[in-house]
Amino acid sequence: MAPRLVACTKCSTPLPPALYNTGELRPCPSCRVGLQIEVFPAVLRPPGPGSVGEKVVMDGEATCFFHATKRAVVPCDSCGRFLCAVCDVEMNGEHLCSTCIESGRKKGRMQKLESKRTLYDNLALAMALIPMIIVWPTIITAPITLYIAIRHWNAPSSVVPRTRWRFVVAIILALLQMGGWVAVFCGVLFSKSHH
Amino acid sequence: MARTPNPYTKLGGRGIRRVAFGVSATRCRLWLGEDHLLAVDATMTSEEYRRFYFRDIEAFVIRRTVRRQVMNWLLGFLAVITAGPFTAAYFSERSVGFLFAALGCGLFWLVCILFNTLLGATCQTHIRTAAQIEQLPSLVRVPAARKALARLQPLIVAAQGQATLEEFASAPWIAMERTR
Repeated sequence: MAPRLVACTKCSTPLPPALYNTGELRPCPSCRVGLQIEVFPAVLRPPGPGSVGEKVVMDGEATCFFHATKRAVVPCDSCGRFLCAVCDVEMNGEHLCSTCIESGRKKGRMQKLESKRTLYDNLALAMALIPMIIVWPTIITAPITLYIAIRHWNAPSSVVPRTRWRFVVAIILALLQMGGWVAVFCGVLFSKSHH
Repeated sequence: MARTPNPYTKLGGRGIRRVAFGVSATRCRLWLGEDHLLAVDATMTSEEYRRFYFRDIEAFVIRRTVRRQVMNWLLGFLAVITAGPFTAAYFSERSVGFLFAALGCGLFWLVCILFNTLLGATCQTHIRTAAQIEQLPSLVRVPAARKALARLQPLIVAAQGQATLEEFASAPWIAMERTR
C-alpha cells in the first residue's frame, strides 16, 4: 500500500496525526520547519479495488460494445452504447464511454475535461504591442493582429471570467498602425507628385 | 441569447511557477468552482488548468519558508549599495543634494522592506489528493494561504463531512504505517 500518512513537504517524514488540524504552524518532528496541516476525511477512504468487468455467463445477456465477452452494466448517456464496468466512466452523475469523452473533449463541449486553452486576445495584444518597439514590423503585424482579433473574437477564451478588452485594444492599435502606414505612404506619394 | 454566468470566483494570492529549469515561468492563480478548486497556470498565449475536486482533497499543507528574511536581507543590501555612496559623498562634500539622494534611496528600500514584512511570513503550500501532491505557487504568504484555506474548508467539509482527530489516529493505515 502506498504511504497514506501526510508527510512533511520538505523532508518527506510522515507526520503523526497529533499535528493534523491544529490551525497553527507546528514544527516538523524531523526537520523542525513550521507546518500547518489540514487533513480531510478523504484521507480515510481506502483506495478503490478497481473493476475488471464481469464475464457473460448466460446467452442473451447484454454485452459491452467494446468488450464482447463482458457483461454490460450501464448504457452510455450520450450515445446509448452498452458499457461494461471497465468502460463505464462516471462524470458529474453521467455514465459515458471513452469515445464520447474523447469527442466531447476535442470539440470543447466538456469544459471540465479541458486542460489547456489558447488566449487569442493576449496573442493579438502581444502582436500589436511588441513590434511597436522597433516600429517597422508593424507594417506586417498590424493586419495579422486585426485578422487574429476578428477571426477569434467569438472563440472560447479562458474558462475563468475574462472580458474582451485586450481584443479591443489590439484592434485599436492595429488600426492606428495601419492608418499611420497609410499616412506615411500618402505623404511619400504626395511629395513625389509635387516634385 | 442570455450568457451563462461564469461559475468561478477568484481566490486570493498570485505567484509564479518556474518551468524549464527556471528559464521560463508561468503565472499562477486559484479560482473556486462549484465543486472544485481550479489552479490556472498562464503563459503569454495560453492557460493550463488543474482541477482539485472538493470530494478528493485529502490534505492542505502550509510550510513556512525563509524567503521573507532572505528578501529583507537582499533589500537591505540594495539600500546600502545605493544610499552608501551618496552618504559617503555627503560626508566628504557636505552637499545637501547628496544627503537628499541618500535619504531618497534609503527610504525607498526601507518602504520595500516594510511592505515585504507586512505581507506576512512566506510559505509553500501543497494540496494532496489520492493521486498527487501539487504545489500551489499562488499561495506564498502564510496569511494569504490561511485566508484561502478558510474559504476552502467549509466547501470541502460540505463535500466530505467532518472527521475527528481520533478517527484519523485510529485509521487502520495510520496504525499500519506507525508500526513500520
